[in-house]
Amino acid sequence: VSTRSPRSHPPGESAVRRFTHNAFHVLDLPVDASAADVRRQAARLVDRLVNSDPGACRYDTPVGPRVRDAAMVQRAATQLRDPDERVQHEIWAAVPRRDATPRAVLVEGSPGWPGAPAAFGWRRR
Amino acid sequence: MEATMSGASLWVLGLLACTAISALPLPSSEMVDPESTRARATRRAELRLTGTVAAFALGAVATTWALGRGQWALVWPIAVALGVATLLIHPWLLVRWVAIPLRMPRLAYTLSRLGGYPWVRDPDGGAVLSGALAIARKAEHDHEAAAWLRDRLRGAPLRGAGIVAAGLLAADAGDRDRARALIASLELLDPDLCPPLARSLAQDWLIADDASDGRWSQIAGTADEMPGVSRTARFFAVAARRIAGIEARSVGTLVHRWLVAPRRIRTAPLLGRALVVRETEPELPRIDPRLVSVLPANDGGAAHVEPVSLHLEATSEPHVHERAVTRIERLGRAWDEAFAGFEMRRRIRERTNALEGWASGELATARLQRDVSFDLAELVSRSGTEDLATAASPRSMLGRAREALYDERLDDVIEACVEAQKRRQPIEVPARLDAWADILEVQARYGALVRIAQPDERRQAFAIVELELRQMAAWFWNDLHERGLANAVSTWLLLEAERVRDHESAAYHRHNIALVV
Repeated sequence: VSTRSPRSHPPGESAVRRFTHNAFHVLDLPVDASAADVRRQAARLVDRLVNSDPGACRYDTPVGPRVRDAAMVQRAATQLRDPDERVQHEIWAAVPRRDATPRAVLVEGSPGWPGAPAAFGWRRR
Repeated sequence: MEATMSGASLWVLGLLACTAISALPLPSSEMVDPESTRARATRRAELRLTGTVAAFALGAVATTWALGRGQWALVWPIAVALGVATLLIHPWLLVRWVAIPLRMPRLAYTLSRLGGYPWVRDPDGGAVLSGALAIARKAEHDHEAAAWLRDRLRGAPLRGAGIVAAGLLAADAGDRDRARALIASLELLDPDLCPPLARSLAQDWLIADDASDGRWSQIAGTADEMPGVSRTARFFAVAARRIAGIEARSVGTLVHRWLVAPRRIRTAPLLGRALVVRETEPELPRIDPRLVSVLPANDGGAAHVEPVSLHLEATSEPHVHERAVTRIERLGRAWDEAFAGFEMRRRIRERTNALEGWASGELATARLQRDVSFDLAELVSRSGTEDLATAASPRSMLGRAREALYDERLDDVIEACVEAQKRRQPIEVPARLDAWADILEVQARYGALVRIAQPDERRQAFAIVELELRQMAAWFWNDLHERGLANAVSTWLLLEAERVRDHESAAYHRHNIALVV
């Protein structure tokens, strides 16, 4: 969850990754899950993902469903085994997950006009 | 006999006029340096005028001679020869009405190389710009012709028309960011280095780009009453003011400008759109439900739930520009309150103790603060709300975000300076356009930095930028003989030196820009 600097990820992504890549969300676990729960759930998910279980690759996050793979699951389990990392993940996992992407907000203001270059005699975009 | 005498007199007079125009000294004390750009442009214009006068004088003499001898049949060949001579002296007539409409970039370039209006101030760049205009009319981007034109530009001195040509070619190839940066950089150049037509084309392109992306407010600010603004641009300015809701009572001006502008069929959709905009009654601001539907805040949960929920809303908001100031301000305040209170710190301390980690509760809190400040920096940068962070207290989370963003942008500036420095290495083949683009990049990153910097930080950053750009200006002047570009860099440095009150630097650059370009 933690990032070293604002540039650790592409612009606009590092902040939202705290929610989409939160280890508790990736593992589908509550924040009070024990170390044994983490171990068991990670093993179960990796097994399902290796066997191409179609339901295993999707998980819910506070910003809607995301796709996970075995590497993500193992990384999440490793992070939760580290107590210092786990504390941070617990804080960021405070908001509930959603099983659907939030409705997009309508754009305010007037849209652009793609015919503008042609009005000056140039090729349309 | 009489006709022959008068013809001879006319011929001699014409010759004398040509000789006088060519031999007269340069008219202004500003042009004492014959190598200056302005002096060269003036000389080119004079020679073109000389050629025109000579051609017409010769035509008049030949016609008089033919008529005096009763050789009426010779009048037509003389008229044709005069027409050809006129086209050779002023090839723009052919370029404008034949080569560009027929989408023939090589022909447009070759004819424009003959010189003359409208590229007197930049004949090399103007020729490439003529070719770029022909390419811009093609249905598909012509990679081969574009590469050929770029090669022509590479070896030529870089002036206004060349910069616009490079911008149009970049836009045509799909690189709009580079195109915008290059074309907008025309504002930095001395007006004498840029043909007025190139300036007008640059403004047209920027307006078309803004209109494509819906930046109507930006177009609305166009100074459309100034000379040199194209008729289409004038029409766009009025239409944009109506669409942006800045000026609703302008139907007459709108229709008039549409009528006098070319390509009325193509601009008709914009006319229709601008006409249907009605003056709206002022209404009370409506409360945005998204601002009151904050998930967590009112249920008395753990202290960190509110800031985390607001954090989620701010980071996952699809259109961060809307309501960004309110949203980020509220988020920063929520984090400040959470970090200032005991509940969240107590919770983190209890959890770190329970999990028996290496870090203490205070260290875990500090790490959380750092992560939050980085995220806030990202949100501020993304939504363009730097003013909010700059005004925040240095101890608040938004203040910390400002510091994080400042560090990041200072790194960007240094990185751009290093790139520009590499360009000056002797092993590099001097590419004027690339060097100019490097300078624009440094200036753009510095511009982003000053939006977030405190006055003393701005002075420090300027010292770094000035050190690099000063050398770039000297390199342009001494090694590349690009006086105009060197002057543009020095002018920018002078303005900034005065803003940060660096008097020594300002004096140095003031001296430099006094040199004739």
